[in-house]
Amino acid sequence: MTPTGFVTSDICPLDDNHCLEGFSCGTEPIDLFIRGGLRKDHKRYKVRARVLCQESDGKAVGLYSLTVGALAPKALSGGILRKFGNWPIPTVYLAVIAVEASVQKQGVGERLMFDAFERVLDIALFAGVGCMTLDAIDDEKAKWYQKLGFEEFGRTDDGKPQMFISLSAIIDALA
Amino acid sequence: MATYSEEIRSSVKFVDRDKLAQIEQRLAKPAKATPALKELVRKAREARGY
Repeated sequence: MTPTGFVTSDICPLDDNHCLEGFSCGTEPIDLFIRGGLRKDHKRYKVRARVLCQESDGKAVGLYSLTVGALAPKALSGGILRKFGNWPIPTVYLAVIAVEASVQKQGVGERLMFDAFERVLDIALFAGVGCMTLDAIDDEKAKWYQKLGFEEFGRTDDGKPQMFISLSAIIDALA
Repeated sequence: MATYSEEIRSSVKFVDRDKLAQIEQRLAKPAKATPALKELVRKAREARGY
């Protein structure tokens, strides 16, 4: 029994045995994506998803996905890039993280974030990574990420906070 | 307007040159984990059983 109050397996890569049908974190666009395109994107290696399931029935209670990305200078390329010295910063992007509504506030999100930080560190051991990035779903969630050390660097077109945390902060946390 | 799926595939984030320079400077300095992040790691390890 975990401190979260229900029996779970370890967090593992998404596979065909994981049941995402009916998954609901309470945010409809995320739920629709998880039930719809996530598995396809995972299989095509556009993102890689990892899942935490109930041992009893294999039902997913939480998941996240990562993909590589970059922080790149706006409207600059080629010679201008060289002149000003702003090269893209390689990143790992937390594309989605979600916890089933019925088990929220029980530590599942924290376990998923911890696993994601470990995976970011794994990636950084084999390829350059400057930081981890994410788009917070709203300002309230952004405050939670800020407490973890994420900093806002901009907003998406629809106003979501864009955030980053340095690799060195992740290394320090996992030391 | 991009769909949610399209949006999350947009892992390349374009930022102003000055902002990018600021971020580069931040990343160049060693950073410490916040107390909240250390607590998250502690709890997650406890949940895993170690």
